[in-house]
Amino acid sequence: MIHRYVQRVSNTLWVVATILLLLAVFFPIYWMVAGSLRANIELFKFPPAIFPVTPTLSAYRSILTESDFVVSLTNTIIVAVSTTVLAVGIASLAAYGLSRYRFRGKKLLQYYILLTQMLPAVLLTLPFFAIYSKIGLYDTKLGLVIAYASFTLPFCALSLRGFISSIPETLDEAAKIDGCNSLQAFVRIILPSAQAGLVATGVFAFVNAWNEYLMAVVLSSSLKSKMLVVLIGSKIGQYDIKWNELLAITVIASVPLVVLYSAIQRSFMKGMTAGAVKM
Amino acid sequence: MPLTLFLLATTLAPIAYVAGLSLFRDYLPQRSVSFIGLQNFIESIHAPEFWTSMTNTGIYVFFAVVFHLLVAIALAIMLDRTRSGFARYARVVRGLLVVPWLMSWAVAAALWRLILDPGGVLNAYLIKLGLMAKQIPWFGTTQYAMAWILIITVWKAFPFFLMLVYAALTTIPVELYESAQIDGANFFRKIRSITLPMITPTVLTLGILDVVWSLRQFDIIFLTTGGGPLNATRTLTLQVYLTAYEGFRFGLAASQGVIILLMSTVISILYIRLYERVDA
Repeated sequence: MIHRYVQRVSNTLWVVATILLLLAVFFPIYWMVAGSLRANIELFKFPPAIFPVTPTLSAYRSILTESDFVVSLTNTIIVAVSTTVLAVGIASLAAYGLSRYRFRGKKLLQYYILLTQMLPAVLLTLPFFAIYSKIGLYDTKLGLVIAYASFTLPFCALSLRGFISSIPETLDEAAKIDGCNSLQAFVRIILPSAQAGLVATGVFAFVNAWNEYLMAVVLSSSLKSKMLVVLIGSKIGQYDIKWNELLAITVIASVPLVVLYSAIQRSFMKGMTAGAVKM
Repeated sequence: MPLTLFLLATTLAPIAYVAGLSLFRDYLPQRSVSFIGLQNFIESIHAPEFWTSMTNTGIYVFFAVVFHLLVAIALAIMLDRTRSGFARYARVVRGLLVVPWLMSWAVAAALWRLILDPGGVLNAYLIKLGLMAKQIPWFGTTQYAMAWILIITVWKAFPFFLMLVYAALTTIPVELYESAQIDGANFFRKIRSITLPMITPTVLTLGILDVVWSLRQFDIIFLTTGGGPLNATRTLTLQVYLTAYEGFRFGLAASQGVIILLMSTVISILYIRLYERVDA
């Protein structure tokens, strides 16, 4: 009897704790979405209503006609997609090499790859800024793509190595006996089998490029290469913030990531554990 | 190996560049570059903001790491699969909790600034409930600014740690708990004697990684307080950024960067040691 009673109390406690947790985590997100559906004055009433009184899409309508927003959204999509393609492309070749070949300095290379993940980005902005100014990559989308690819490559390579190592080596040996060379074996056998890994690391690279702020703010000066996060950053700094429009932008900046993630949740987790934090 | 070349070009060359630059006076407005040896380092460590930012970095890193891990461990245990009656709900909750982690720091900064605005929702309801007499500008008050930045950091990044600690929990065989149950161990005893020891390697690795990540945190601080008020939230990364891009003293900034680099290298070596132990 006492045992059942204890069980009931602990179950109730669990439910209450979970609900409180979800409230604490999701209230800011709710406030963001709800705020984007309000008129600006409604947000700063005392006290502001928890639910929008007269929901309106006017904030979304006005940002969609704002060229700053449209251009930086386009930039962000272009940069994030290119980074993903570049990083996953190079990383898959590297991962193939790391998992299939023995060569001198392999261990050292792997440690070096690990170490590069530890570099503070603010430090890297200095040389990137100086070098880019000299060779004309400053304030270009290409410049951002190269910078982001270099940040995400190490993780992508290590994580893909985990995926490729789990493909039995007999598979590509069989292909070689059938007359494939290494590259053909890689394209026909490895890439299709490591699909889950490619998707997972691809999403990782995409999310990183989409969200990165520091490089984006240092390496761009005009609308030509302005990223969405930089636009958000500069709007936060304005004296008179149009909050509902800013919130609409943040919602649009977040939705694609949530959609992408929920589509590939499973393989993403596998990639995370196979990658940097290998246990 | 394309990777090797690419990495060398994008990481080793820049490091060499920074290390070299730290020995020069490179002041943009005068377009003057001259070799001054270790003077930048000497100036760096004599500047009062440098020690303030060192202390702030220490505070930020320490609390960010501790809270990330504590919250992750507590929630991972709470949302564990062994709680059979709620297993399905627990899975849904774990899935939902990922959302803040997916968002950009810039987005997090924007929405927390709205919530914590002097005229924002938090102040409004604290006053309405009679807990406070007047509005508090949270990011403009030295005692609160760092605390809020830490709260935002935990809110934004804990899902990542939760996912990995949870992944470690799922590798613990259920039989261990069952036999402990038979031996009459209670809930806390099981946590202390089975769960915690089994997840320690994961937690350690995550802790070291988080130290490095927190050490280089820039976005959330820059976009909420910009280092203020009165340098109360100025960390080393902000110090480098402000010296370089607002003071245009690139050589000096590079010397501060090298100091951060040395610190993260030491931690990285620790990480690799650990990695080697568990990977071998």
